[in-house]
Amino acid sequence: MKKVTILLTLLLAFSFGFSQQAFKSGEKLVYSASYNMSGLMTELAQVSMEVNRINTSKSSLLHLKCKASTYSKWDNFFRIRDLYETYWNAKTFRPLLHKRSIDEGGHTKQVKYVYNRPETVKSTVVRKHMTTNKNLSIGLETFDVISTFYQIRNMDIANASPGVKKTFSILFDEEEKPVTVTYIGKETIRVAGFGKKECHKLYVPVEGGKFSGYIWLTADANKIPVQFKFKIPIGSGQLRLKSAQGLAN
Amino acid sequence: MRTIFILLGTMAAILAVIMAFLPFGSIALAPALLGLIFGFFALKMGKDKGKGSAKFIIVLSVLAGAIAVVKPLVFKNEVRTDQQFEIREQESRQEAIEELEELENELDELESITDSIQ
Repeated sequence: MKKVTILLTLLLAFSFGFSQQAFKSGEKLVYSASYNMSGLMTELAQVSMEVNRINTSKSSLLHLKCKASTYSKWDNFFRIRDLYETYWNAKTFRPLLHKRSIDEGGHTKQVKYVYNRPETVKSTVVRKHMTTNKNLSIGLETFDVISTFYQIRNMDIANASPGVKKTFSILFDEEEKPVTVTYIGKETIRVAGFGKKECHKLYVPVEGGKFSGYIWLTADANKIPVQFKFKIPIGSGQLRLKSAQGLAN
Repeated sequence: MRTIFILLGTMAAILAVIMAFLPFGSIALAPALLGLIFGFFALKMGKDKGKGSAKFIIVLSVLAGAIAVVKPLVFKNEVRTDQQFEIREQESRQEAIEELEELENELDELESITDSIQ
């Protein structure tokens, strides 16, 4: 699951430049996650991504949240309850706080990154019997999983040429992970509730192609990630959009 | 040869039944199909008196296949309401807001830096 999470994270981290706001507070995307078992895709979990505005005493923030829960039929075999959250400054669109709380088949872990920009992040990792605090030195353009996910939505890829590559950096498990992503081109796919949609297709090889994946973003102002396909050494899987609410455009 | 088909057919049919009842979706169709094939060959090779086992394998395989097909249509994928997870979510949000309140001064500083850059 961890490897899949990393891969999906990397799939989403891609940039060619900023465009108009592709999402707004109130947006909710729901996906169905499947894993390939003996050639047949078996649905395992539901993944949801939400954007909500919250206010502190001095600021307006965006709360970006990703939840993953196994379908009830799987709960007795391998129960997953993952929560990824990032709080953004609503004006600058830069992260202030990232939290990750995972429960995967009884394995639990909590991670917290407090952005102390311009160059450090205070990291707190809580495992079953141990809490670790660190100050991490990171690049100015290194972001957590969720931040990267939503930043891609605001990237301008409308006029990108096939074959264009972009290297970027993601902070995951207290490490900066550089990844090069390739823009494949446009492709029309069928999306639940939307019919056939023209999409931008991106390719993401990880660790020299040991892990790899594709992501499809709708070729419109919302740039909704409608489908992900990934391959890992022990199989393959996909995420497909089930529903989308509160779209910005 | 017929004994081998019956043995393989029985194993495939039992596996198909088990997988049909477990949440593996339509994956149970694979062993069900194998059970059907082995059962069919065992039936063809058997004499009139010894066809009972082969017929049993075929019936079991068809039953498992039917369950594998019908079950996903009847029982939809759904996420169980998990109060513990909801509480964890609420607590996480509350802790984050408290932490962000404490970071307000740093936030102001960050905004002023960003404004000056822009």
